[in-house]
Amino acid sequence: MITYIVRRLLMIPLLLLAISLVVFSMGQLLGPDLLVSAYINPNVAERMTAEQLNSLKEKYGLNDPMPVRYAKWLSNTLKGDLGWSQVGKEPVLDAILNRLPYSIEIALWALFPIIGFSIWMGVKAAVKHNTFFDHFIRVFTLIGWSFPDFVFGIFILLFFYGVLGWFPPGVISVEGFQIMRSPEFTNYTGMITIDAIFNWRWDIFIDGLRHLIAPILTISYLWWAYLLRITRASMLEVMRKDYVRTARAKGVSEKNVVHKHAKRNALIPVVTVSGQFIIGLIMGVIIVETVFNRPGFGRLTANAAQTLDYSTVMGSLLFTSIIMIVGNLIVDVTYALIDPRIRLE
Amino acid sequence: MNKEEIKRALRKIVKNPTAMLGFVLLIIFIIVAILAPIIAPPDYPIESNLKEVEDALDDFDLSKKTDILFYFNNYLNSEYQFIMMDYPDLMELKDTLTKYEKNEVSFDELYFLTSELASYYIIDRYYLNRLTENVNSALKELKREISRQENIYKEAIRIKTEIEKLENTSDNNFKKQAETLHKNIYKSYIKKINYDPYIMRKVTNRNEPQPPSSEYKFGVSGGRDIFYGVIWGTRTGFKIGLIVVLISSSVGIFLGSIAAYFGGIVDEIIMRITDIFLSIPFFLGAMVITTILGTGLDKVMISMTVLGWMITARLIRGNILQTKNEQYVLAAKAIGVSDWKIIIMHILPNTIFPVIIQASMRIGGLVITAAALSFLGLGSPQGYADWGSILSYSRDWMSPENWYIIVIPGVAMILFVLAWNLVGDSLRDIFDPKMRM
Amino acid sequence: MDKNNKLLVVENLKTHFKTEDGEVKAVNGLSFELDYGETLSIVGESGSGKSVTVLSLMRLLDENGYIADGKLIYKGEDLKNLPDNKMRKIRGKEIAMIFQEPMTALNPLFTIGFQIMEPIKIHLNKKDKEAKQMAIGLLKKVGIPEPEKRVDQYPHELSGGMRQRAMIAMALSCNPKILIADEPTTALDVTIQAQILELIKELQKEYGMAVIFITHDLGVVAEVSDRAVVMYGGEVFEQGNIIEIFKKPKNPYTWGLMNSIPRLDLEKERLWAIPGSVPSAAKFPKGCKFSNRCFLKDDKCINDHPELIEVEKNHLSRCFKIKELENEIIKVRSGDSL
Repeated sequence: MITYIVRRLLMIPLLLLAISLVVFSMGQLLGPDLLVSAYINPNVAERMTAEQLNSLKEKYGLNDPMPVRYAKWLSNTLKGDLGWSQVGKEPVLDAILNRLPYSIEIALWALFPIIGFSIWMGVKAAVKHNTFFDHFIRVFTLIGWSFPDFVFGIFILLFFYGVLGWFPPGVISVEGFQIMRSPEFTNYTGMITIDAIFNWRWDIFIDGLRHLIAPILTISYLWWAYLLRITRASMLEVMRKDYVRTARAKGVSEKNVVHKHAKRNALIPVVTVSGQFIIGLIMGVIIVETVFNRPGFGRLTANAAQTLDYSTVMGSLLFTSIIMIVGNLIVDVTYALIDPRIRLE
Repeated sequence: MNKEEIKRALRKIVKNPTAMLGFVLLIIFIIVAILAPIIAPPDYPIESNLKEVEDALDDFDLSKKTDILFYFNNYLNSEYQFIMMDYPDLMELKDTLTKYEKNEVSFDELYFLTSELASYYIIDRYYLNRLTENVNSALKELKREISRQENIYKEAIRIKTEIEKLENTSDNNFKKQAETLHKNIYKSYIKKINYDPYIMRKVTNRNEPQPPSSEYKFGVSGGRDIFYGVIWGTRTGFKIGLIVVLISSSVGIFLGSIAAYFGGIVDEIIMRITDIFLSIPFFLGAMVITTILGTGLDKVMISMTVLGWMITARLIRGNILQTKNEQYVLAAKAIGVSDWKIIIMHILPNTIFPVIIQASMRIGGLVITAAALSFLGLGSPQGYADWGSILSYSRDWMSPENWYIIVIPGVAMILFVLAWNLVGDSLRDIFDPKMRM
Repeated sequence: MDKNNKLLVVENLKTHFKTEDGEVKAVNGLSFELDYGETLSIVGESGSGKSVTVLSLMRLLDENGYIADGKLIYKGEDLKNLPDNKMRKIRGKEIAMIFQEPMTALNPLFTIGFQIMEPIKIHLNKKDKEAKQMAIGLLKKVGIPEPEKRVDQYPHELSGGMRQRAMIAMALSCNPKILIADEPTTALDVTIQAQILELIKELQKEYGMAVIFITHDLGVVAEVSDRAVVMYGGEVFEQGNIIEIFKKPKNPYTWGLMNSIPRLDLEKERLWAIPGSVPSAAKFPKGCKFSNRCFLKDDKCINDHPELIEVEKNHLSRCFKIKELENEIIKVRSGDSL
């Protein structure tokens, strides 16, 4: 088990290196002039002397052959210098880190309901196979799967905000914002709801939550549908297995047959899919932040792509890849924890 | 698949209501896409001379012969007047270029001739500047420009000849010939001015949405007719879905087959490459590629193809690995059939089914992704008939009275994806026991 | 015959399945009795309904199966009508079952120990520590070496024979009155097969259980049973004491089964097999179900359905041609060299 984890950990830097190569070479396609603007604020660049510009180019290796340039890029990246973000108007690393908490907040709030709900419903639907409940779930998942998430988001915004006025876009109301800016409120994590709890301000908590519900619903719907389907299908298959029959033959209660014997086996494919789910969350965050106008990491990336802000987009790609790789590692370890057959490989 | 299995499969489809719904929806969409020019006729631009010809032909009698010929010639003169004049000069430049490359002529002479032509606006000043910057690429670009002008000239000559033929034709044949000529000239005209029926025409310059009316059945958004956009958007949807799926699946099949069949180090390398590509988050990767290549529907399709072949590759590799060791393959090998033949004739037909099914299930997701990218402004250009970009207009007008700019294209998209998902789903249900995913 | 003293009395069991092609009568009127400590074999080819019989007994049928008629009287109580929670107390405790494929019948995610301890904890209410000790003891009893180590291992870490032994340990954990063994050796090597059969016989003596053996292998039947029920097409075709059935078979199907066993001690030129194969559930012939494969058939067999009759004391057969069979057997046996 330990060797398994160690092996996977060793793979990470290799994978990151490969991705960094891909990211780097994609960028070099831009051409040297554009690259300069990727590294420094153009307003500042205008006022630089030729000497200063040249030393900048030296630093980023823009005058050097490719391998040297890559080495310099790599070392700069590892030091945290990812270039200048035009849309963020600050260095890329800062731009991303400052906005990351908002996105993490959505992801956290969405993650547990999605997984919990899907598994619970999926198991239930499989157990109540071919009943009305089951059919309802099947229709639910089919529609969810076909609903583009941004369309769903817009619909929700239209209805719940436009018609009902319940869930406004943005992250917090104007009044709440004032409170958060004032000295009586301390920012610990950058996430509104979490900080509100730490500050024991339930009004802020509710405020933030109100703005979170619609984005969470939007991200969730698509993934509920998908995970639910997989759980249900997997559970149906497992319920037919011999060992489930053996468990019944031993006199195990139906509840334990389903939740102890069958469910654990059925979750294996679900865990496998969770790797994709992590990517899906990231994509969902991009869309949701754009639709609901939340100043997070996702919207930063979207704006950057639209304005061809290369360095920001590359920074986002790097970040996302890291998250994904770590996420996949967690998934693999979970997989090994659940299934003893994997551990002994 | 023999007849019995096909019949059973069809029966299963018919019995299953959701599958039937999917197929029906899909057929409706296909019909709409094919009949788009009829349902929402595009606004073909009008050229006045050609319009005169058209009117005259509609109400034809021999007295109108001279008029028709007049308008044809008028058209020729107005469109092609300059190229006719400048042609000899351009040919001289072409000649000089060749001579320069053979070192029969000095750079100064070439530069002089080019600056003369530039001063008469025969060619753009840009080329002149280019000559001083970078001679080699200037030469290439000049050659390209000259040959482009040459083609226009050839077209002009062709039209001229045709008109002359028309002048000399007998009275009996005149009408018919004139009509054919009109059609051809009109086609070349449209090409010349780059008319794209996919661009939704602007019906008003005001940006606020306007509700559905008798003239604009689905309303107006961003100054454009939503009905037109939704109908032609069907074609776009099919275009995107089918092209991307076809190409990415082909790439996937190719790579996967090679990896599986030859095994060993080939397999290792291809699988590592697949893994690396798989670690790139799809949506983000597409955004990165569009950042580098620029925005546009074709760039979006490229990025989706580049990032979409991996699962197909893995799928077919898995299937082939299973089939590779089946008896009939070993038998073929023993007889001495070549590797390629074995792959194409024995292995692929038996492993292709799951790939086809998976491909049909992917189309829905692809259309959604393309629409999302368009929604973010990374896909089709302004005004292109694509549901995603129609929805992007709605970002500024999000209130209940503007429901139609959101609901109508949204529903179109949902139904389209639903149709593909239902169809793919039912296909998979039918062939499930045979599928080894 | 005092019915009330018998351990198990099955009366006219009819189990049906609802399928796409209609209602299938997998078991159509099966009756037998089982005494304390007896071994009964249910013999037949695949599709005869033998597994369905015991699954009906345990009420472990699939979704679309149900008991249409009959009585399943265990210690005087009809199992058919028992509410679920009471039935659960019977499964694993009074009646236990082992299955054909030990690899798939054991949950791959739980240790052997856990799976053996489960019925112990449920039925005997023991705490973890004690249950584990009992599990180790059981593993030793079924002949698994190093039981302390094995008890924490997973099914895929054991060989096929050991898995089957573990299953037996699991079944015996609560000292059941009836052990049902559904083709326990079919998936194992021949040498292991013999060991497992030996084991079951020993344990049966030690625990004083009755055993119902499901098999298609007459060799196994001869080795372990006291009595046998021969099934075909969901019906009993012959039933009785094992020695009598082998010495004096009263049904051409049984006779066919016996002859299909390859024997080295007799000179035979070709391997004999019952012609044809078992038809699918919907396609049994009218009249006698075996008629399309029987060498003694005549028009009566094809058109009329024979009933089960008592040919000799406690020896039943379902056939119109019993006399003809007896003659045939005499003919054949006098021709065998000894």
